[in-house]
Amino acid sequence: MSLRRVFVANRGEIAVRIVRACHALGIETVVAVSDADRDSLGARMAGRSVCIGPARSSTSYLNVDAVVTAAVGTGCDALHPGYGFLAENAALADACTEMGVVFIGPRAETIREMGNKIRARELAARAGVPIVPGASDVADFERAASVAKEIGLPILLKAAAGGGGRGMQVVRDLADLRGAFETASAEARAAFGDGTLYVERLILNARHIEVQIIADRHGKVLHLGERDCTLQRRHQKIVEEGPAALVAEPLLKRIRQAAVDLAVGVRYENAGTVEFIVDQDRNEFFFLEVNTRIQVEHPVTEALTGVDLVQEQLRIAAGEPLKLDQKQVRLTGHAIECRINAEAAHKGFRPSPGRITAWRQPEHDFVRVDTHCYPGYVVPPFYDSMLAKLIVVGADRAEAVARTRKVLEEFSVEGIETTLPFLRTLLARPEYVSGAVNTRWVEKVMSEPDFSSAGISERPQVHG
Amino acid sequence: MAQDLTQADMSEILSAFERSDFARLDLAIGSVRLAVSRSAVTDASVNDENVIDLPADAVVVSAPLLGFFQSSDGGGAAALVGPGSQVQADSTIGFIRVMQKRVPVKAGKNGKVVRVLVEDRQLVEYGQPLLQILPAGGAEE
Repeated sequence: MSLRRVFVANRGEIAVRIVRACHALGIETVVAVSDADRDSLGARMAGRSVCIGPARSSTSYLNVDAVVTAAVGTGCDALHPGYGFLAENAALADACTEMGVVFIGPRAETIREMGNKIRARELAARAGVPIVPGASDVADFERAASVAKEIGLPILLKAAAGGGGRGMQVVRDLADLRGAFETASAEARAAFGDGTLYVERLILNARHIEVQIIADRHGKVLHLGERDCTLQRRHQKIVEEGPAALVAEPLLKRIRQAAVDLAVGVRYENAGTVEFIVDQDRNEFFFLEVNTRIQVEHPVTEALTGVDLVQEQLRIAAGEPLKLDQKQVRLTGHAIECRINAEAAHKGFRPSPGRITAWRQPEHDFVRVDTHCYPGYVVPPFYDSMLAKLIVVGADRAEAVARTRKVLEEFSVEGIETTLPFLRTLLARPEYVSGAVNTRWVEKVMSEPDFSSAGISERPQVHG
Repeated sequence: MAQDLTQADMSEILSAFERSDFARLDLAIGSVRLAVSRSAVTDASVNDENVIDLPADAVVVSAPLLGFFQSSDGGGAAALVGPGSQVQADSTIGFIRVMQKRVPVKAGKNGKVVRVLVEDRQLVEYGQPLLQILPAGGAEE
């Protein structure tokens, strides 16, 4: 079986990316657009575009019925959900199956299981993947004390019955445990009628490492190496790179194998990412979650392996076996991806939609830019603010870092504010260059008094 | 299967025609026929249902959502409206089916249906013109 016409249920740069991959394989495309995106680059490149609803994404890109009906009505035999929107919505995968459209992604059951954090943790543990040490049955102080001794400090206490950070307490010293336990337990009882606590180890000096997985429908599972996404702000990734040059190779080997073990354990299909947290102080790693979709940062892996992940997704969905073998997967050089968003970093990352009056992107043989933007494009205010992904490769991390800093200077966007100045400032920091960072580093740097005046604004700062 | 003309295709074709020296264009692709002529030219062949040439006073009823257009109440019944039908603002002129849901489409204006622009069971996009109504009190009243 081969795919003839693919429905692209997404927008922005990923719609463009999917259309390109389809056309490279001789597959026709239909792109879903909202009323605000009728004139988008993806729509213009596709064989056809279909307006699925008004600008507001809840009435267009998030409308399962409209998306599936549009795919069926335009004669598509498969649907690519991209990332975000409905990409990890099991109901979309189910609706596609029901209507005879191939969903380009994992089985609905896998999406459902991995979307449930507790179930995903159980399945990871069952596959022998380390999970963050903790206990969910801490009902009295004696139990809290024994768990704390068992897993080590610091620890995080939170209500076992609910989320949202209610009653969360951090304990760094055993002497503080009793007070923290009583406070957290009382708050949990007040909020959820149950004072039982969930206690887990708090990893302060952490790196975020994730492993790219691809798996076909015939039981073959490969990893395509890892990405280091430690630079985050409020759990939003800012810069991603690969391979994880700052994590020791023996640990990386175990992390990659853990990702494969989990994928095999859940009979994973298509592309996916297994995310881990690495404790830099103890040289240990733990499972975080599985993302059952193509990720924003997939070009990092493509740059390192030479594998076109979206084309592989299409082949896998068509039922083709993976041609690649694990030993043929080699990570060559180093790649860094920067997300360029339409946001004013110096104004609390306020979105900055509007007309792009000038767009100059760097052109080098070591640079890839994935974008849907061009001079004259109007960034609509309704959606995610990402404008482009800048991917830079080098022979090693030092060269990749130096090149990224250089090409960030060459990239210029006018008419709207972007995170380019913020990225330039961040990547000039010695801690980034040397790699001495953790998942809290960006926010720590941003809280420094001199950071906001260090040139994260494109315009000169006005004093006084 | 030939892909139908989209609105974007049509506007592109129309602007190409506008820039050209041609007096008349008549194009049929799939279920859509596009016939346009410059105002100086009168053409007896331009009278098809699918011809896009809007009477000046007519208003368009657009699809309120994407789905499959259903011109009748189902079960082989006759179309709810056709050219010449008198409609009230709250008259149902057809339905749009999306998965298990069926949403009635209202005329929105009192008047006479001039032309139906879509076929039964055709996929219609959000905002796609479904039919033209000459509002009551318009030129033909």
